[in-house]
Amino acid sequence: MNAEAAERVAEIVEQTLELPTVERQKYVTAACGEDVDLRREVESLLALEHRARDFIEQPALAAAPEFIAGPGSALKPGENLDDYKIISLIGEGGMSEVYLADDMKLRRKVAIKLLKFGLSTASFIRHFQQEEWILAGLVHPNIAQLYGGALTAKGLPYFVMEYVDGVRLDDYCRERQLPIIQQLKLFRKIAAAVSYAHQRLIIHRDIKPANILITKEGEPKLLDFGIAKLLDPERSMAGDQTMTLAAAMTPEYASPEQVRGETMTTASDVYSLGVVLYELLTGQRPYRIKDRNPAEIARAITEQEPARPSTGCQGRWKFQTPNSESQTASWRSG
Amino acid sequence: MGTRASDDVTQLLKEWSAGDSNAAAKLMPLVYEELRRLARSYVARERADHTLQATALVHETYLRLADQTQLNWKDRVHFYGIAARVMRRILVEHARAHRSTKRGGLAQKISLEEARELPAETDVDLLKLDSALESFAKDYPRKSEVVELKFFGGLDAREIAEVLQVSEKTVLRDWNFAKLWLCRALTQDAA
Repeated sequence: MNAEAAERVAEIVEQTLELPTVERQKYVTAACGEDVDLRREVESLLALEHRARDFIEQPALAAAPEFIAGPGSALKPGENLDDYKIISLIGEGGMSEVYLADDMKLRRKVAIKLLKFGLSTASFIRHFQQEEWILAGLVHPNIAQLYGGALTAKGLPYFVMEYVDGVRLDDYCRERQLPIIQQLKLFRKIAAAVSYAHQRLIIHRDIKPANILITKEGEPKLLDFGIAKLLDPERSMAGDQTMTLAAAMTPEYASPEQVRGETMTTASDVYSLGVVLYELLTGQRPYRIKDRNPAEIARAITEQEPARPSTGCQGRWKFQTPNSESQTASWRSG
Repeated sequence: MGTRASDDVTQLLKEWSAGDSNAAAKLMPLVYEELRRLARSYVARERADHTLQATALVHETYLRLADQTQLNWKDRVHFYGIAARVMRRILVEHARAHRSTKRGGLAQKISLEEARELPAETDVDLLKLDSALESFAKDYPRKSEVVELKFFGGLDAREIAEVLQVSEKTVLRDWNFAKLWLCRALTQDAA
């Protein structure tokens, strides 16, 4: 149909729809005249008036906000996933949900991390199974053990991990006003655990305070070891270069090579550990970042020279007892 | 020196209003990311009033991304246009992924998951609608934009009239015609 004819069809149909039913037939006949094609086109559209009444009246999103958010939605308490019975949702991030669950076979509590996005390509599944096997071999008292992983029926990956009942490293230190010497002792254990993994050529890739929990016994546990790599090779959604999974992760603790998208090495973990320690001791991030816009953070990480921690922690320990102040002093001079 | 996200969006919207079509391409990913982020928080909150969501989502995305004080209504309506297009893309991409998941034989260890309800779907096949809308746009570019803004963007007739700079009456006429045309296209497709 040419543009003129298309316009004519629309005009007649629109005009007809505004007329009372009894006048319509007459109008269509008059408007179409001898043009049989035009008349057929107009009538086939008008015939659908009743049928199309509610058609697409509801916005696409109104019926399914889950669409836009991604396919992930909460597992319900009491629901079964393979051998696990879901107890409750214990954490939620941009990319995943974490559940406390019962391992019904082994009669123990586990944490299940369910990704909100499906990465269900054959290469991903192969990669996933390979890595899962390597990570399950990582057995260390300060690393939350990965028991296994699988895909849900909808193709969403999930990981079954040792359940750690603990407090984030930074919250733990702040709430208890932990003296520096204690903080450093904790940190040494964390560093040793990372070193253990590095000896096995496994890189964490996402070291940050949220991934380091301190148990009731005061033992640090590193979570999500190697999980980032499992998710890295594929994009979250085909055809959208800006939406890589890595970009969606907290970039504040990332190394420059990581924000530049270059190859990561064990040194990248050491760098992130350094940022964690910096923040722990000074109460500040090494970079002056105005907001959480990922591009801005990436710029700061790759371009800014961090302020020396000793300049950042001035006043940080003022509220503390004289005892911890002297520890600060000896740490500074040491 | 870095800029804030809202500065970027504000600037891009101005450039777009001034006729720089590259600006639209740069805006898409920013809007995309924010829409998704907001949608996730909506889903997490499990709002009961679903009808409000699409419109509210677009408005909230706009409020978060753009610096209101620097923009006029023309920039805002441009933003609505972008948001609607982004929503269309997300929804259609998701529908496509959803369909291929259903078809594709995954290496599934798990079968107990089946009881889990799939997200509620609209009665409309989004993929078919999307391709019908593309054909429709060839003959009726403005009318197809009305559909994009209303159905995918969740905007009302008044807002659409502002975006397209036509009267509300024209928007309604366009809409009614588009519904018939698209409904026919999908019906024929099914037959």
